[in-house]
Amino acid sequence: MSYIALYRKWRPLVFEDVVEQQHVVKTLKNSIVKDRIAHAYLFCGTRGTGKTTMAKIFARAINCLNPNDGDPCNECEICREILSGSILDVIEIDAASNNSVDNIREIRDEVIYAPSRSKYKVYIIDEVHMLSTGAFNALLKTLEEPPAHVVFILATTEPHKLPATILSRCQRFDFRRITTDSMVGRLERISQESGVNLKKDAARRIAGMADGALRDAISILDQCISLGKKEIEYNDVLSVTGIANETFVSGLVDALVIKDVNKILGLIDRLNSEGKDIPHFVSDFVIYFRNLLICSMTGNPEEILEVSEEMLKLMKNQCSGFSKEEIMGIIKELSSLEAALKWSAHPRVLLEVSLLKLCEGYYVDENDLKQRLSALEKKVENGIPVSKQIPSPVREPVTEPVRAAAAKTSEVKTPAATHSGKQKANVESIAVWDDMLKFFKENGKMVLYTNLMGTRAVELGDRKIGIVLDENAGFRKLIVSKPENIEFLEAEFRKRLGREVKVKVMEEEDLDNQPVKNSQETDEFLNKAKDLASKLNVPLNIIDE
Amino acid sequence: MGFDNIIGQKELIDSLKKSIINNRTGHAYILCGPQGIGKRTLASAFAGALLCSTGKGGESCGTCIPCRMFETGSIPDLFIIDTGDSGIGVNDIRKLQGDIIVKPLYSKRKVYIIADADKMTVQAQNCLLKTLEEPPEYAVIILTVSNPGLLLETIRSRTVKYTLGKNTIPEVVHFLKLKYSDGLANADFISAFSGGIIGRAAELAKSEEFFLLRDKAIDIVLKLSGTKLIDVFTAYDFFEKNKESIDTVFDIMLLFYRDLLIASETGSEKMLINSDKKDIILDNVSLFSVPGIAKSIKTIEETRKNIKQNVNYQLSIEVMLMKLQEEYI
Repeated sequence: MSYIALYRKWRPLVFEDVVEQQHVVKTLKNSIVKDRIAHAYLFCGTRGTGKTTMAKIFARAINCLNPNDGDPCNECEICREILSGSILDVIEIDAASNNSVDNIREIRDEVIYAPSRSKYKVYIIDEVHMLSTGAFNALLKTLEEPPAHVVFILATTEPHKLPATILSRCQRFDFRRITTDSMVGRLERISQESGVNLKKDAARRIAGMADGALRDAISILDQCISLGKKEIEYNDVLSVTGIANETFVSGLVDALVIKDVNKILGLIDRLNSEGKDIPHFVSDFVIYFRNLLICSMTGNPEEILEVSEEMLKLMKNQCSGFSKEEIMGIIKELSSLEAALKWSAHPRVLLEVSLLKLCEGYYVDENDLKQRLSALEKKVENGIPVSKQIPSPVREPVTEPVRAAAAKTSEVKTPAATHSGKQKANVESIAVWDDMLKFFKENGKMVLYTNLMGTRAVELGDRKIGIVLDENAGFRKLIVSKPENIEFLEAEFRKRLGREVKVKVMEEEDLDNQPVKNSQETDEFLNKAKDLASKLNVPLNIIDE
Repeated sequence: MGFDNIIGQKELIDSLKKSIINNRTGHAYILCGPQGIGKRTLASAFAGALLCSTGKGGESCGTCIPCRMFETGSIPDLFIIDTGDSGIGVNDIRKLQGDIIVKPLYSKRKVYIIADADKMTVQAQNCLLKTLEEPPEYAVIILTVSNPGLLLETIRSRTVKYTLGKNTIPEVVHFLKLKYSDGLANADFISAFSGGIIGRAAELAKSEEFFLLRDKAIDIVLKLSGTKLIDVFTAYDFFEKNKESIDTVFDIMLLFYRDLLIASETGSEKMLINSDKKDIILDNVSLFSVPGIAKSIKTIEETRKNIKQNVNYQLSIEVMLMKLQEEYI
């Protein structure tokens, strides 16, 4: 008898042995006990979570001659025949190789015949996502109302590829990914039965690599067992899978902390010549830094991280060598390296370059720079305290921070007033105008928007706003000047500026003929207010709008 | 051909041999590693050992009937799918499925080798799934793969995966010296450049063209310094001429920049790949800044990717050259 891979040998035979899928097991068992078996089931979930296994158990359970609380006995002749695959009534179809309409038509022709020996005729259609569209549609009617003796079980890893009409005709069960703990339990049991001692940390490492798929885990275990040792240790797992161990990774991190270029290059050289998988190493490296980040951000990392105590101590030491931002920068750099590695024929060179970059600290992220820039800009905009040393020729120096609410700050206006021999300087464009245009566009005021595109709004004194059109825009002027439009514009300005304004539509040349409006009136008022404030000893914020 | 002819890969071969001796061979294997590392050679050596009817010591004995037939290549129990440059389609897999249910004729096993299995279409991979999971007990399927990322997860989880490690530089040097007994001038460089891939090293050693290409490419990299924009366009001629081997040109440039980086970081000539050009490298280190080199390397990799994705060849090369030019001090 030739050897059978562990994952085939250990395919569970009863519901209880299926790891981690209690929610499915419970429902299926109850339906068997209560005799409420549906005619079509859909099992979906990632690879290695037990879909096909569950389908096979279910097929036996509903046909078993003396079922035991929903479980198949695996001993009666029907069970044994199903297990050996010699019965005609349980049909396992590989939909990936039999994906055409003709294959489905065959099924359709067959279903009408009663099962030869067992109670139900069970069709297990595996990899069902590979059926062609025609085949799916050919299956629809059969799937909806099959004869009473037929049960369909569809299994797939990609349920999103099935048409909705198929999905709605099946009872759907989603299989969960398998947690590390259950996987470790299962691995330990299998290794025990195979006469091998699997160390706990080795089991954890295998489970970690399997990424939620039990079959992957068992395959790796199989590979480890074929080393021929009686004991499987952590390092055996690493050497079988070609992964660098954590001491190596942390050694590299150490070298990175002290920026020892020669050591880093030496370590990479070793990694390379030992034939380790560089992409895998990089993703391990990322996870290591992620752990460092957690170490540096939480007080009790031992609750979150699943690492040994010595490792934790080491990490705690190491994370003091980096700031949080640095670690995040490193993680970003390494992640982009991970993506680049997919394309490259020289993973080693890219790894070297990235690590040297990290060493030199060139990984400050551009986005980060952008953020800092925008923070600076905000500061500039929102009020740099005007210091007393700068004499203001027009007014009393304003000591309080001057805040701009919407558009114009008094700082802008002050120099404007001083320099203004010409009016142009006085007619500042209003910043909210672009906003307003956008608002028109988004709110369906297309007539206004198209006619006002490319124009600007200027302030002609406190209570007047001019909308400047290009020259020779007579027609547009006509449209915009319609009373309802003017009214609407005024209302919008009021909303945005918080004061009453009149809107005047004008052309470029009209602007030059505008009388200069002096802001003396307001100035007087301001001075009075300031006097009052200083007398009462109340801080004064001037918000000029 | 047995395991003896394979250089390096000691652990892997040991583990394969052990699995045969202990009768623990799996039903599906993936051998993965870069092109030219020797996946096919290993796969066929393993197949020979599997087909041997004595199976002593985990190697093919060379005397039994299956072994002798294997050596002459006439054994019907070995089935190789190798479609060359074209992809592997559903029909190829169906052929395999039709053949796999027939019991072995001479040996006790049947071995299927799918070469470059990453060229299988998605349909073909799906088609293979069920066969791969539970083939008849006498069948062993071996996939050789250079980019395992292209295989479906469901395929990967059904197989035992072995990664072929790169050979160490001394191993490659030794191999080259054995092969070219009359002495090979650049054995050290070739070994380093091949990155420990024997097949590649052998290929490089044969080709004189490669060395010319390298000299020219390095020349261009150096000439880019302190030139005017217009020079980029004259430099482009070189790339136009070598459009076919552009990947090699990129490799050369990449490794040259890498050497510059290492030289400027460590200041020593150790660990250089272009070890025979160390004078040129050390002389020119001052022309480059470290972040500039890092950026240049990124640029080259990006251009390589773009060209693979069918971006206009001339445009991407010229843009690359301009970017490289900007990075000079």
